[in-house]
Amino acid sequence: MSYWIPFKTILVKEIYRFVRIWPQTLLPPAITTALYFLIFGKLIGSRIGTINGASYMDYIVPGVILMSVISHSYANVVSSFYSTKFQRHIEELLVAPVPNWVILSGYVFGGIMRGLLVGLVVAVIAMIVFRDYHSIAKHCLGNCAHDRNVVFISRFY
Amino acid sequence: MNALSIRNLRKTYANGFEALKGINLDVEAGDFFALLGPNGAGKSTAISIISSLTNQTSGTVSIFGHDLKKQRNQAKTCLGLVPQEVNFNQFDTVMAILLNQAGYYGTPKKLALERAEYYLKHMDLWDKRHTVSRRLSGGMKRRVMIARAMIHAPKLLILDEPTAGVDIEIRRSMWKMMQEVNQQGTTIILTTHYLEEAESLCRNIAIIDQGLIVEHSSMADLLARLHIDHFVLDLQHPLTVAPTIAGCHIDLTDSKTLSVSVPKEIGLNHLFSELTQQNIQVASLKNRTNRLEQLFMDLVEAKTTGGQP
Ligand SMILES: Nc1ncnc2c1ncn2[C@@H]1O[C@H](COP(=O)(O)OP(=O)(O)O)[C@@H](O)[C@H]1O
Ligand SMILES: [Mg+2]
Repeated sequence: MSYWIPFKTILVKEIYRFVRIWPQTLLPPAITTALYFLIFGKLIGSRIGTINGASYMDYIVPGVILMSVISHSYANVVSSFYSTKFQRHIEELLVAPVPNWVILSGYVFGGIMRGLLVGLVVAVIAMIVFRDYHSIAKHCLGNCAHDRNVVFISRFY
Repeated sequence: MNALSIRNLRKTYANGFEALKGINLDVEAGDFFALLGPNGAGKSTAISIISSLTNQTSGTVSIFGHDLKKQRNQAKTCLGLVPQEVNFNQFDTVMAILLNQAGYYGTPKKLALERAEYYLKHMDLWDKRHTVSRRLSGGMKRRVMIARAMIHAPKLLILDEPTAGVDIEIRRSMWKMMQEVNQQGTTIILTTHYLEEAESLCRNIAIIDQGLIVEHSSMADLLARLHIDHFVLDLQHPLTVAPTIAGCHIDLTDSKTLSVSVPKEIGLNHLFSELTQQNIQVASLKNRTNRLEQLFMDLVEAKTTGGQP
């Protein structure tokens, strides 16, 4: 319990960091996935039709969302920690009585928050591109974990 | 109880360089302590070990009785560090830097805000609290680091060359501030290469050279040991050869300037009566070097003790 304040400080600092530099952290996944959805989803996907009752969009959207979540949460921890080390303000953490596991969890949860936020952004983009709110919401909330894309991606990572 | 106690501290860097060769150091609680030494002596290395940024090769460090290895968190809580180089996030505002550091020490937000306001106002930084730190001047950055080190109210404050490259006005205000902090009960260890700074601020002193402590005593004792004073005399009339006075060393720097070393037991009266006898008129007199500087040079050049005094 006594480590709650240091943990919260690191987490808030991390969230503040990626929100402040949103053109570098939130905008790129929005643009790349928008292009992806437009080109593969709309143009190519519309020609594929349904396979076993699932449209190409049903198939692709949850996978792309989860791929963004995973890759951006990893990327956040890496780039944030690297710049902390490079600018040497990691020393602020090292001189303070914060155990390593608190530092680690602060950064990990910061990464999780970035991943979730990117996932949300991508989901919103998908809704805009495909205008099929019901199906995407259903996939994001319910079926994500069972999607074969997800199984594939989680093996990949 | 000692604020800081170091026993047999050694550090060999990964490249095989031995930066500390077994130093012992004691700093009493409440002291204003100077750690002096030429560049590369090992001051920052010692400070990095004390503040857990580097691991020692061997030896022990304890801060207010807390062993750095066994009770690291208690030891860390007692310590505030102002590092030699700027090491805060250049993209954060001054306020964010202070509040984050307070958070790392587990200080509740309300208390942290109070302290941040106190130290920022105290250090003429209050107007800059929302400024991104990369836009601050060098002197301001130093003061931010001092405020950051004080934010968790440490019992021991270590400053690694805080006044290096800072103009004289700011340096003086930092001296005043350090003295106030010390008077309020915080032990201070200061490394510096401005010897006048150590002379005017510190009560005790250690001199470190090439990884060894070559001197560890009170400032008063050290100064008392200086028995030769050095002066520069400006003359009314030009000379061609330097006068000779038994016991004194006199050089003719240029035709109207003499550089004189006078042992305390001879004294200035004797010097002047001798000069008057030789019909030399002195226009003015000034101290040639800072006395401590002279001693420092002697100690560092001699390196005779080769260990603990
Ligand atoms: N990371 C390092 N690796 C190897 N040698 C180092 C390292 N850091 C410092 N040194 C060496 O240790 C010596 C002491 O350095 P330092 O403690 O920074 O001196 P100073 O007294 O000027 O603060 C220097 O000769 C320096 O080159
Ligand atoms: Mg140094």
